[in-house]
Amino acid sequence: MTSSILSSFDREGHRCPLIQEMELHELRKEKPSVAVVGFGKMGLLHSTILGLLGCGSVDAVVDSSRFVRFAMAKVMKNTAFYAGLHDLFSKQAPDIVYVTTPVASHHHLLTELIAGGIRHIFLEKPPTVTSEELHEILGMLNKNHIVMVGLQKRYALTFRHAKSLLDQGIVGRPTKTYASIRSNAIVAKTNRHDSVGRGVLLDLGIHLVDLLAWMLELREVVEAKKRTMYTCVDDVFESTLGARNGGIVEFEASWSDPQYPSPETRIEIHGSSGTITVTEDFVRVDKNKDESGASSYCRYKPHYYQGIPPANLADPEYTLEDLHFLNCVSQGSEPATSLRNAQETMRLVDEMYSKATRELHD
Amino acid sequence: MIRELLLGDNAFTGASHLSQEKARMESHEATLENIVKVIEASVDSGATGFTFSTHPKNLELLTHLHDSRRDLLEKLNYYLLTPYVHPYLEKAGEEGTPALLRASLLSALEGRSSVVQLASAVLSMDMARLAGVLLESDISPYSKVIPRSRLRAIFLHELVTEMVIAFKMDNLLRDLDVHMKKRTGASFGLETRNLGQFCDFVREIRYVPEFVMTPINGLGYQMAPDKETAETAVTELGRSSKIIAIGILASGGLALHEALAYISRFKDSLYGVATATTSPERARDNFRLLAANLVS
Repeated sequence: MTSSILSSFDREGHRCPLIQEMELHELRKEKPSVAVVGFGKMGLLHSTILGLLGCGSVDAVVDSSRFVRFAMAKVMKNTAFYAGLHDLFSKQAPDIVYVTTPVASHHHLLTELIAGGIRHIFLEKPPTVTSEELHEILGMLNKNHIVMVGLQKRYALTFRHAKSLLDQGIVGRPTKTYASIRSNAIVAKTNRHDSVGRGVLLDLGIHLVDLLAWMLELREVVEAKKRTMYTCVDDVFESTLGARNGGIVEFEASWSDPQYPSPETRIEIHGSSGTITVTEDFVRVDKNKDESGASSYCRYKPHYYQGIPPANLADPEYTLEDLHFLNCVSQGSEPATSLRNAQETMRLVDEMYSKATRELHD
Repeated sequence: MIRELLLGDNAFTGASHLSQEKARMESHEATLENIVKVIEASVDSGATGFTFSTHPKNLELLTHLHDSRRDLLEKLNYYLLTPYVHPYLEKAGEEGTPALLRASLLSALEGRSSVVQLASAVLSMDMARLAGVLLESDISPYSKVIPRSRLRAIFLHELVTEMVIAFKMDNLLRDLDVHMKKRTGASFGLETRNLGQFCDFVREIRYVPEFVMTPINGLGYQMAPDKETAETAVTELGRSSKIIAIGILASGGLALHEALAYISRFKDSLYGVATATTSPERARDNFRLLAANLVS
């Protein structure tokens, strides 16, 4: 049974529904003018993907560093570089703005962009530092605004497949879930995050909270603990969460695990009739023994990404989220990870922080 | 005509395009002693070269071969991929692009041989030259241990190549090509995982790359914008460039016989084929089959 269900996804699923919904050639014809605010790693990543897709033209970059503006302008001859949004607005009127700056600047930048008449905004995660900031931004938006948050894990085909299997009841009712997201981003003392006041849960753990809220419909925060190792904020965050139908989720986020040179998300969902394990790289289904015997099945990344996405740079989900955003802009529809839809994720993040009263020491 | 069968380094450096779980497993197997056994088995079975990134583990390996196994070192041709981007990305992610640029300059300064070149590039504000000096600095420790006559080509890492395509940096590309050839004496190549876009770009700017390294496999994994377009690009580029196929097993998604059946279709367009493993036995089996079926 497991095999046949996975096979059915094989036929439909690896022709990714996200790709099917998009008419790439139509998007290419529209070729909106794009400005990128913040030309760090994520700004470069999205700009390069857009260039490879041929769907958007990065005509402008805003970056506060004179060094970056000078060096990049020397090699990117078709792009104008500006020190701030005021300079940008005085010279250009982009159709889309990507905001890829640190989170502390998001509230301020979004306020300026909305006031400047920008209707289509891609905002890297986390959207804001707190839910309160997010609600303030939402209050400034009207129905013509399309603001999407870069919670790209939702666009990874493995997680989409796992969600689909879960919704079909392949492993029955989820009772217990073990979920983690780990990286080795911070393994030495740093004070970079002190001013934000929030650490790994907001920066990295938000992906996992978002995935769990989407897949399992999280309801409440039962317990939360945080540990400080290299910063003044949370380097490790653990929590017990309550999901729909009484399921329990054990959550862990760490950016200080030396075993993980690249971030890895792992969700192991134990249901009444089996287990689904999913990461960015694979989906595994282990069915409990019944009259037809036990069965298990595993599919890896090369199975899911056959000839897709149409641009390869870093993880495939980045290209898929960019395509989804461009498609939503083109169709005037709401993105799956819109700012509005990110409210629940940010509410949970806030609640987890507020309940994390017990400080764990390494 | 396939002339080179190359051993790849992914399995040695803890990189896997299949899964991070597999990468962690392989990194435990990738001891220096075991890697040397893999190289021996590969060479005995038909491997003619080694393609690798400037990862510190590869420097350790090549230095070991240079000091203790010169016989093995001198049996291979070398195809070097630069820069090793992981630490640069970490730096950019952690501290932003200005910190990355500063760190790159400082790192180049540490490679003393390029101080004059670096100062000259900075003073002249010539970014292509500066990029060239940074790449030279990145490969410098490796070129000291590899036999000079065996260093066949230096490839620009895919992340840089994709930026060159996306932002149409044709001047930078041409200048880098000239700079690297002149300064290293080796050929210059480009690695890409977006072969269709790459082909359009080089055609548009009338640039003929000497070497191209790209994934080619029956699943179409990491072939963009789609498998069919990438296949057409292989045939077109193969007429004038030396193409090295990587990812032929789709990172473990295909068995070797499936990969062989597919890759054989492009025999006339390919110059080399690369594959990687941490198992000496698998290296022996894979290279024997590749040699028997692809090299005649």
